[in-house]
Amino acid sequence: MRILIIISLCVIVHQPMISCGFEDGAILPLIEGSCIECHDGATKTPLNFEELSFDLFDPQVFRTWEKIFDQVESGEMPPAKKPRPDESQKKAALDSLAASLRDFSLSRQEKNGRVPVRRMTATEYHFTLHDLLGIGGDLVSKLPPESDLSAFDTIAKGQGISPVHIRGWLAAADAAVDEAIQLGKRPRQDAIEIDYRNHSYMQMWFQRELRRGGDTVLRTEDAFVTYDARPHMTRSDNLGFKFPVAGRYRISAKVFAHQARTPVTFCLYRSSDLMGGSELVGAWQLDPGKPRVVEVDHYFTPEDFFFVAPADADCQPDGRNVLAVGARNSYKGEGLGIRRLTVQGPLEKQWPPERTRNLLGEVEFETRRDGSYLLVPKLKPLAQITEVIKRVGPRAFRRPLEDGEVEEWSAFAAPVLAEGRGFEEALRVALRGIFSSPDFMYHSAEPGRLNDYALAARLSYFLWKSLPDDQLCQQAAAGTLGDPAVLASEVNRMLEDGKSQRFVEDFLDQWLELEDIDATTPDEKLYPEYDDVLRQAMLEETRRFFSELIRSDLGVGEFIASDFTFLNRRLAVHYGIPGVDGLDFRKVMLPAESRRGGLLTQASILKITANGTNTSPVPRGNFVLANLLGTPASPPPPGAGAIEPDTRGTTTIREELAAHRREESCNRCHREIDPPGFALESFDPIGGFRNRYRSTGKGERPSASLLGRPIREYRLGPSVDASGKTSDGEKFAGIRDFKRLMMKNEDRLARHFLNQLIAYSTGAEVQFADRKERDKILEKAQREGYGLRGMIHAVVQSEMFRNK
Amino acid sequence: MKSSSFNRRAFLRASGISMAIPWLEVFGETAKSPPKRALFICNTLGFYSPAFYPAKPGPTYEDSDYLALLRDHRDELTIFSGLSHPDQGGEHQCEMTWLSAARNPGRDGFKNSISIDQYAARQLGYATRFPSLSLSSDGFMSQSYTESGVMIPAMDRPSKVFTSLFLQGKPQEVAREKRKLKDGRSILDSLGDQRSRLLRKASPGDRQRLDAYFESVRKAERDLAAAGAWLDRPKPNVDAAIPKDISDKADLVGRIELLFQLVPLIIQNDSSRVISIVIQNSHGIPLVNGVASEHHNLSHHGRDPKKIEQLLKIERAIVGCFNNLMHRMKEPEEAGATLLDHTVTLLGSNLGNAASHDPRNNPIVLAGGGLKHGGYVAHRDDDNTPLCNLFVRMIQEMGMEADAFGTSSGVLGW
Repeated sequence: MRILIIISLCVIVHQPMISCGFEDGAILPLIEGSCIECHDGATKTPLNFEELSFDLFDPQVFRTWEKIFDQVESGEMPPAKKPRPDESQKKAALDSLAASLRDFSLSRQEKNGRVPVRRMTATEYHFTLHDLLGIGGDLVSKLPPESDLSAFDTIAKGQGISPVHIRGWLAAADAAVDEAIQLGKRPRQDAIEIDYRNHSYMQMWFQRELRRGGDTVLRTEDAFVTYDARPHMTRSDNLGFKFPVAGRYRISAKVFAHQARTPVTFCLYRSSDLMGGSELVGAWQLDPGKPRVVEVDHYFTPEDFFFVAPADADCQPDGRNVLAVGARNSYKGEGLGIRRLTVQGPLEKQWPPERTRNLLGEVEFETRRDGSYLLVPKLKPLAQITEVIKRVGPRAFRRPLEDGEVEEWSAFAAPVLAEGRGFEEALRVALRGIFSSPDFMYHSAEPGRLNDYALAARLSYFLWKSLPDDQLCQQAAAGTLGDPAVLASEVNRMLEDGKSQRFVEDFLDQWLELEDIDATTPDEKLYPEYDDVLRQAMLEETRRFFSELIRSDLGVGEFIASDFTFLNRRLAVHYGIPGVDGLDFRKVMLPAESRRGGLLTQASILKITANGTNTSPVPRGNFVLANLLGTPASPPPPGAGAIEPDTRGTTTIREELAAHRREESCNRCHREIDPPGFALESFDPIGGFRNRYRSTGKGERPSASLLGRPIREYRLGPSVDASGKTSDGEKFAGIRDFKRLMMKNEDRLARHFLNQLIAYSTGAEVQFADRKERDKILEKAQREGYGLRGMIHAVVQSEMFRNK
Repeated sequence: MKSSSFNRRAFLRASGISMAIPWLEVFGETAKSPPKRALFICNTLGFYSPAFYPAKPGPTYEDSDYLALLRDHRDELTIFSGLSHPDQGGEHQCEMTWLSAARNPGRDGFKNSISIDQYAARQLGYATRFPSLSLSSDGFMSQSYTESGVMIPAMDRPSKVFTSLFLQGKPQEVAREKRKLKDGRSILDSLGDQRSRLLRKASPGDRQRLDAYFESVRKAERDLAAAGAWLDRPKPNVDAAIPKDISDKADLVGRIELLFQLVPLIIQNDSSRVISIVIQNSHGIPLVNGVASEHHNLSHHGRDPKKIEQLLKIERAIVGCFNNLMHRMKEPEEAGATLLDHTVTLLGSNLGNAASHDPRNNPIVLAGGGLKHGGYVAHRDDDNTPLCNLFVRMIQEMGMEADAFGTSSGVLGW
């Protein structure tokens, strides 16, 4: 063995291009003394020192040495049951290795910058064009989806580029420019009533028999009543309403809870045949005997329609629902009543709309005979296009235009003008060119310190997911943005701005995988209480919670345990927390012994880590390790059998896992993975608390009721055991104990969270050369209680953020 | 939330369309036999293997539950067990590597590689209006990946596919589309001119990345040019009505059926020679008699016999769609043979056991393509043969000179 390693190292040492120093031998005694015994050619582990080279230019090799450094430094390796290496030998090896890794990492950064040139993500493209052109239509779906190769789609290394992207950008830019330049006939501006009670389409549903799909809606003396949540009955397009152009519309409704004994929810959805699913635009609580006038502004395109539906409507006191009785047959269940519903819009102050005028500049609009508008530029077409480029270019490129650039972009329009196709078409071509160009699509910079323009862009894509606003641009132009005090006040201003919600959503979508909330739909039999209103509330809780930590500069410890959360009635009922009325969210202080509080007990997280039918401690435990602590377990060895859950109510997943853990090769990781998952066994796949599993087999009926009737869908299965023992051997009885133990990991959590912020905001993960600065930020943050706002500030002020 | 279901069964009938041999018409080729095509169908939630596999391998196997549904085609298909891609894992992540065989999907540093359909399409180029078609029963996720590992979004609206393949469009629409393409080309052309300016400014590390952008621009421009050339040629006239999309996602079977009905039209009219179809499992309870739970939930049946019974009903319905497709592929003839004879057809799944997310032992049916069929070929279930060996065989059957793809270790024979 000894001979082998010397031979292989000799071969490697003779490779001439290696510039690192650790092959000098300082590391060899450690490897030979403590590592090679297991990690040699005969190893079953992924690490084999006999084949590992010193060629740090190979990213895989670099990563491996980095991992070796981390595991030896933390004491994870050699494993506990093996003899400890000699301390001085270990220190010499680590110092040598660290120096080489740092030097190499630094030299790379000096040559190319920390972050390779980064492309705008689909989300950033969408918001950039929204802010630049004043439009609101969805562009993300027109672009190829971002791969999830990296922790965040903002990380340059994992970003793909292909002809599919180029064609996607051309198409998205086309759609965006289409929406920006509105020259069609002036749409009506008055409120249009959608008359559900009297419209001929509805009469069919009033009259049709129950068994033929009708009779779930009712025409009363002065109102329309629906007991039915299916979209087709109340689709706005079926009632003859079409959104004439893309824009913001105001929907107002006079609504009430019909025959209600408990609150009923009024839901308004947007959908289109293109999108398939539907988006919950708003949900309002209607209390018995209290009619409400509600109003919402929302963005719609001509392809969209909306529909209304009741939620939370209890059935008849005898437990029968409308499908068993029929609306006309004196059905006594709760329903949604609508007295009047109107749509007004597009909400434009003038026509052609402001955004069109802002984009085109000095032009006149002539009315054509059909009511549409003809553009009459005041200058010659090419000169007019040049004027637009001079205005749009610097904003689009987040920097002043260079000499000759205006001409270069105007040249895009020239062939179209030469064909005699006129100002508008030529301008469109130039704009599509700009919005597909590398100057627009890429955040480029030269290695070294970012200039103020690049700094403004990095900052604004971090907190707003879009281009800098006027104030940031002015600070950049004045050269004052780089001043730490100015930078800090800009960060505060940006966090106060509503656009920072984009950061909250995008960051959480990826860090906590909230974007996967719909990856599975809860089993209808086992979780009949799940609906869109609850789904929305789940996301809202986590987003509001995170925003509050930033707003009040609360610490990362709150992620583990907090004495407050954000709830509305729907979610509070789901959690069994009394005293929260209405569907508006608010901060709620939790009782001292509440199981809730912190991220882990939020329904969104509990749903994402389950598969819809059942929960397994493995993905949940791994979520804690990977997403919160930043130490994901190694993937199972090839050929390891996966756990196959059993919902017949006979064996629990815990019993199956126990068998799994008797294997030492499994137990090595599962002793870390399983405990957090065990503690979370008290929560079902939609985040409800449980003492007993739900089962589709035989068993007791649940005593709870659903929508005013007994629950028929599922039975009660085995009892839940949420106890366990951490890998350090500390016992916990359930989630409350576990959270207390988990607080010991606050430093690890803080470090991972900071790493995530750095990676997300700069476009590159923390590199070896960054560690020193990262650790300094962390030390200071620790003294300040790991406040989130403080950490965001520290990242923005860091050398990592301020250099390419 | 379920939406109304439209007249979901009313649709074109591909059978009974009599036509000349279009690949000859269009190209004036003197070929004696029609071109070979490939069709890849993946049911992402797997097939319940006890219902899929016969008890014993060999040419005289006894029909399994599902194979009984394909009895009419017994001589035109071969069943394989013991095939899969090595080093897969993650829950459903092997969905994205089923046609590429890239290792370790979802792990740190993973990058996808070119999928077999795109590999074949690249060789064929714009010989047809579409080098390849990627279709999905729901959503844009496809299994088609470019060389740089970027997914090509799938089309999930049959009406849109049909329109792009067969509907001529009004003259002003065609003119508009042509203008758009021409503008697009002109934009890309001008963008390409910026290459040297931008590369000069970039640091050495960034130069490569920006160059990848310009390389993509160049390729996109070439695609637009080829697509533009096809705009000048009239689309084939087919004796079929435009399909009415089914917006109800729960109507899984209806949606699959609509996609499958497009296949013979695509092949017969030589609109594309490489088709991949992915059957997704997304939302809602499938409208299949006796099924009361979502497909994905049923795939995690937890050995509950009631759930397994429902899962079988869904999977039988999917196999039933495949049976209909096979019938349609056998009806119209071209050059004295059936469409199926010229189309090497794969039906399978990335999951061997969906209940435990096991990516090994993929269920595989191979049909048509003029190959020798009629048996159940078992490979080792504890040491699988690379599925890529079959992929290589498929593209060889298409007449391509290839002896390796992905993780292949040879060419599959039987």
